Amino acid sequence: MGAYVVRRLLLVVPILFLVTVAGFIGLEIAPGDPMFSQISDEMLQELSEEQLGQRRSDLGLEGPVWERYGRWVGGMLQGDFGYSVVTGRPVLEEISARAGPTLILMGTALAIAILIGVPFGIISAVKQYSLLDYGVTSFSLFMISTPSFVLGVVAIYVFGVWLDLLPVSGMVTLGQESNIWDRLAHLTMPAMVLGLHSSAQIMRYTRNSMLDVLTSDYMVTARSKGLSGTAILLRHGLRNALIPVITIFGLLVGQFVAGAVVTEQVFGWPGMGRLAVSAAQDQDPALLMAIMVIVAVGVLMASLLADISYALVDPRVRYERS
Amino acid sequence: MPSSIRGCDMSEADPVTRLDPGIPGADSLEAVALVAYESPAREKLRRFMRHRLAVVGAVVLFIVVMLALLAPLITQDPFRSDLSLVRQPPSAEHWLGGDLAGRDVWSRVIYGTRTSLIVGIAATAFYVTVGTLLGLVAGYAGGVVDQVLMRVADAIMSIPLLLIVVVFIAVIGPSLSSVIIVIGLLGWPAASRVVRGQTLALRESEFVIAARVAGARTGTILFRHILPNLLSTLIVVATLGVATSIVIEASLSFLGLGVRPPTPSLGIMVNEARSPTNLQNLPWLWVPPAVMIALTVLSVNFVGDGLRDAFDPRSAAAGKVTTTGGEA
Repeated sequence: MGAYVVRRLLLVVPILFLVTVAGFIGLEIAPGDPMFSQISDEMLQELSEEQLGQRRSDLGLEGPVWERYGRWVGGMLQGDFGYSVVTGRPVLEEISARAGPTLILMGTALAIAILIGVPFGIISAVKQYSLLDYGVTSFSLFMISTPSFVLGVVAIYVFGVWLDLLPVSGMVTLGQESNIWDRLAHLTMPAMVLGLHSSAQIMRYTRNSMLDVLTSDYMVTARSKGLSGTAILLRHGLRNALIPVITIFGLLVGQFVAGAVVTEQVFGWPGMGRLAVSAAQDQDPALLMAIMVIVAVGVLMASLLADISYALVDPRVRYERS
Repeated sequence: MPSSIRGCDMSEADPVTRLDPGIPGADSLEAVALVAYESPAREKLRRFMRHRLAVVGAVVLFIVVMLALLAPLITQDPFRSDLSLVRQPPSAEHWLGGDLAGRDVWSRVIYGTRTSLIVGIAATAFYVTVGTLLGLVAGYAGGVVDQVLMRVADAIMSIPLLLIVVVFIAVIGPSLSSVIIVIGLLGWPAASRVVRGQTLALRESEFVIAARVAGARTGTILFRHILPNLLSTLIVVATLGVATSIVIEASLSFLGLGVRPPTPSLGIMVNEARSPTNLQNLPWLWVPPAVMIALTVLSVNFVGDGLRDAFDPRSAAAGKVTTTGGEA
């Protein structure tokens, strides 16, 4: 097991290297010189050649490419992600203020997605070709095909405008003392939209995995031994079917991020997704590249965890080698 | 058993290779049995037609494509503002009413669909071509080349497509062509994975070895012997890819990072109408573009699912892991 984890970790290193290289290239080719972003034109004229050089080295903008790349990555390892061109504040400050709301949204949405996706995927496989199965498969294909912003807008219309049940934007009602109910009400719609949208993938995956198991030899054996239907389903079927479903969570984290980018924008949720969009609209390269690297690390760690827990529950994985 | 997931490939062999090598021709046995009484093309068509939703999808898609192609004949000028049409509800003359700037909504929906289809097809053609070439090279060359290409693919795939596209659009500036270019340049890893896996398997097959022994050049082997065997897979990958590209274009335009106004785009139309008062009072502004996006993507996905079942009989029975498009 230890060797497996180490081997798996080593694979992440070149990937992270390439992601940071891409981020660095993005920083380099982005329009605008970060050097001039924080000083006015008048000030720029007063500065001497030497002062400019001094400033360049203060900001870490001098030296050959590989040296600047090294400094950028070294800085990130120490928590220095540079400065936002727009606000002039450290990128880390901007991001950490947004991380909490995003994690709350994504955590709730993940819970909703699992609670809906797994049970319906299983029922749909067990009752294959039933009306319920057609309903579930159509629903999931419909959810996958509808972009999350369309889903969000429809939700706002139905629950925010027509039924007037839920607040349509933000995390709290402005100008009102925030309490837990107010926060929950604000969380409901974005979390439901993101969760339902992602539940479709889990549903399809669980259904396929369950179908695979249902047609396997050991299920036939169990049935021919004369075990009861429920016992077979729960003890032999479900336990094996849920194992591969674990792997999809590594995949889903990426989808949640993509979904959050759009959902946060639709519902005015003050998270990292919205930060990424406004950074893109304002062309704020340092902020964008930092978000990209952080998301990549997060996704890689999530899939690492998913793979390791998969190997923990299914010993066959550990011995598989090419 | 999916021991590898997107982003991090733990075992080097793809499922296809793991199944195949020991028993060459294990696949073709089944095919031979079927071909005995029916031509492959007819058989595929029959299997596609049996997939009822796929047929419905194909019909809907055909109508959508025809509407987009015939746009100049069936619409008015999508750019012209008419002050008397501002916020006007649907009428006999303007089927879907007028938008906030007094433009004909029906015309903008049809032209917006055109934009969606152009981006969907162009971007997908771009990345499937790149992905196929890189996948062929990686699978056939193996060794260091394969390692490097697959690590690059892993790196790109470790960031959700929508986010990485947002990042690079911001760097080069949003426009119709930059959306196509960025999706085209960053979408290839998924396609190249599939191609690489099948190339690895085919590389050791007897007809390829025979061609190599006969002295065929590498290019000939890749394009004459291996590529034709990948065509059915590529058609499925490309069809589902079109769905993903359309969703990404619509989402980007919705976020203000895609097509620039005044170019008609379904995403922009929904965005312009998304304030609660407009949602309530001017439903003809946002319902038609929203329905159009969902309908187009849904029918493309139905067709893609049907094609996959038609080309690969095992996928329908075994319920293979799907790659249906539409990440955002």
